[in-house]
Amino acid sequence: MLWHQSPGQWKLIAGVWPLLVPAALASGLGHAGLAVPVYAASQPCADPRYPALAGPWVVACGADGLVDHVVSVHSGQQFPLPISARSPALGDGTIYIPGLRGGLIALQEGGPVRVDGTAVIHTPTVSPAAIRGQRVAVLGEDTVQTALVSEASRRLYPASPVGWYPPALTETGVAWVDTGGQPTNTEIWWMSLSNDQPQQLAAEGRHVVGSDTHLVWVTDTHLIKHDIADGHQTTVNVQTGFLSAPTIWQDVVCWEHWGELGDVDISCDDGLNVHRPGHQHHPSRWGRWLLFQEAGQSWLMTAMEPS
Amino acid sequence: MKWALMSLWALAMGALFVGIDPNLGTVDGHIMAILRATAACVAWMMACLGAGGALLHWLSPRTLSSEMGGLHALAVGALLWGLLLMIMAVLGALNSIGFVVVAALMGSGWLWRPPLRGVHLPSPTLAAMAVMGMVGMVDALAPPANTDELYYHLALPAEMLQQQGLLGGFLRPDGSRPMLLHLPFAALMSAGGEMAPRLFHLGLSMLLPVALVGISRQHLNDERAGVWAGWLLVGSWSVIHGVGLAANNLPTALAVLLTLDAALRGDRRLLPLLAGLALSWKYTSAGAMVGIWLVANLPWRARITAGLLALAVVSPWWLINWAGGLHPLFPFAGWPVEMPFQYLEKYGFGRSPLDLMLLPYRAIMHADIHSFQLLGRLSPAFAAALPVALLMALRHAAARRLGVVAVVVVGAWALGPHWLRHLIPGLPIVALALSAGLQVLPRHGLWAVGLCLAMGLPANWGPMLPTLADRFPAAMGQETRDDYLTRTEETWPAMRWANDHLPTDARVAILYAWTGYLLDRPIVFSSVEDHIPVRHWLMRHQENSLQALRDAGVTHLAVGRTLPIAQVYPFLSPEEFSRDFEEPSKTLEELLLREAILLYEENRLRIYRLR
Repeated sequence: MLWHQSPGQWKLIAGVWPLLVPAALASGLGHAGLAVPVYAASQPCADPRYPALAGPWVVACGADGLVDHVVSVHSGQQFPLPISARSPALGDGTIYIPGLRGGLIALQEGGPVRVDGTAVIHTPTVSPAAIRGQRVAVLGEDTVQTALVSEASRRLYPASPVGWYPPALTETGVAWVDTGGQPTNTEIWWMSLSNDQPQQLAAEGRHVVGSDTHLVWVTDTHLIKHDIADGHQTTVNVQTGFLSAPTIWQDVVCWEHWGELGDVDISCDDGLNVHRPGHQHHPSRWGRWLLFQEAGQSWLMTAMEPS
Repeated sequence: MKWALMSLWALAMGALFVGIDPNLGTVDGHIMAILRATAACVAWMMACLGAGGALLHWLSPRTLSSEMGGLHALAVGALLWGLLLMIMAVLGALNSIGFVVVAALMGSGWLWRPPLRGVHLPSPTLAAMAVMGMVGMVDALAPPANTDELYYHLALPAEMLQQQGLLGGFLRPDGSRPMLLHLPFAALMSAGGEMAPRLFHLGLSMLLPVALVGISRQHLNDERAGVWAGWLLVGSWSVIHGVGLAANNLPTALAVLLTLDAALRGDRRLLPLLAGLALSWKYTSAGAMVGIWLVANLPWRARITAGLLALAVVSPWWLINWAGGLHPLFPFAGWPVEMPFQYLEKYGFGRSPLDLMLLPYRAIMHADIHSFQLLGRLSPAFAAALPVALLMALRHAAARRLGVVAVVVVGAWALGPHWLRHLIPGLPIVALALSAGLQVLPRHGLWAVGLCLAMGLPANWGPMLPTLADRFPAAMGQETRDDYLTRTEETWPAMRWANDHLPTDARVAILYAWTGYLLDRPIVFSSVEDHIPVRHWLMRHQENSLQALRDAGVTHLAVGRTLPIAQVYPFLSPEEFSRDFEEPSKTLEELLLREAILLYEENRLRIYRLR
């Protein structure tokens, strides 16, 4: 399928991509304006939130459903990971796996490298962890924990996290989905790393994700984009998060929603969209790349270079 | 006096050992749970004996005064127990008050002082019972992990307790089966927790060797056939592995044995009651019932009457279904969208005449506990005892009668699905018929059969031992229920999440998953054979399926990820497979996207909230 840019939006012209994919693969996985299947990430994962992007890398699973290899979107090269895991935390070119058999993996041009001397968080967790730079966050049964991967000590805060939903790390704090003391509630809570005071950000919300500048979460009817610096919230009136979480890279957010064709599509607030027949879901965005799932296959969409 | 002191000393040492155990802090709650379950079992069994004894005292004093009298009293009491609880359930009074009323009614049977007798047991039978007891205790005391318990044998009693009444219909098809055993399971669970039905089941299972010895003495004039038959059962994985689980095969086997005893005694009053009990506990006892009916020591007219009365004992369950607008035999028949309840071709080694003739041989020599073909294993001693059993059948009328029943049992099993578990209700009779000849074997012949039995033990007991070792810490309370289930039951994380986070008034439909018992909320569906209830619902309601669930009060869904595999159903055409399996799955996945919100997923089980 060929994509070209029209004012403010990416449009799809169907039926051309099979001719173009070999050329696209020859120079790496992505090619501007194209969505291509990533066959090296075609195995279904035990945790359907994967495959996903960790920087310019597609993190994918093996036959046992565990995340065990990565594919460079630049070169198309595939590398095995030194440790496999079910639901690792994905950062910008990093993978973090909590637990005694876990560790930090740096995704470098020559392949993944396990980083020595990283702290081990071995308390039971209720969701995948989060990593941003050198900082990680994990959710325990009744705690939120953050630590620098190079330090043995970590900070624990009492909380009531709702399992399954990973925390969202930003440069200045951590957000997570919390019951707020009511088991059936899903609230969004935030804690600044500077004052260590947890506070409720929203009385209702799920699927919180974060970047350096923003937090994003969903309700049944809205997507909320929260500017960390000034607290300004932008609300998109859309039913999303019914299957998968939104994704954020810097201040660009992508999310699933029901499209005009009567199926699930993906839209991004920078104008990159995947509107085509079939259900597209589980978006994962980094830079120009948008990874998504369609009919059990991973696809990589590459945005046009801005002219 | 000095022996009493010695006994006290021994008990005190035991108590001291347990008391100073540093792990006691973690296991004392478990010990209390065991004591509570045991007390519930003993109390209800005593109530059964009282009620059954009093009834037998009136119906059949001759049988009551025999050494099988206690067993018959227990069975008749269990029948009464189930029927009284059925009435309570229909009245919506399946609760503590209802249980107390039923227990008081049944316990009042002791006022008639029924003269109960027990069976004097030879040592080898006691040893067989001890093996059953040791294996069964581990399973009974450990958290539930058996599929059939999780979707059926524990799930239904727990839910009937929740609803204080009977279940059933298209939303809960398993509940439309006769609940004569599961209502008592509910009563036991109410008083003694989830261990109690399993301890009760273990107790009934351990009575199988007892009944075999009693019948052998009574009808073959020699206890040795009963002793050997007991060991044939204990030496078979299909029997021994399940003695400590809540289920209905082995209790039904006991009821079938007692029916055989009543038939051979020519007890025209007791026979229909026990036959009705066996059929109500499990319909697959029908084959054995036909065989028993053929050899019953009664005139034909009395046999016909007994048969009709037996059906009358089962008929309340048919009437309940009929009154609910269902086929009387639902869920085995009567689905509005035509589909077979079971694909017989899916099981066994084939159904050609040659395959059926070879089935007994394959059932012993080629059975695999992990294969869907037979899903079980029997002792090779079944085959070892065959030649001499044939000789005995030619010479001895009682052995011939047993042989006839055994042939009908195996024949009826061959007509149905070839899983060995479906043979279990009649298996003790097969074992007894085969063992009937052993009593005339010289000592070296018995040694050979014993050696054959021993040679079968590694294959029959071997697969069970790692499981028991794995469950042992949980059975002893040293591993918590949560830790054990997290480690062994893949749906548990999602079920635990649902237990923690779904509203208390949520009603959850379990789609393409079996483990409804682990969810502390009212449920619908769970699964029967090949996920028929869910597939039927989807084929019937199509794109309105989730709306129809919503209309039925369902708020949430627990959905397993299933991938229909055509190779499992090679006898279906591609069109049939697509229509019956692939299309319903596709319909559901599409509807989930449109009408539900995914809240949690782990290990292929998803929790959704309906929009």
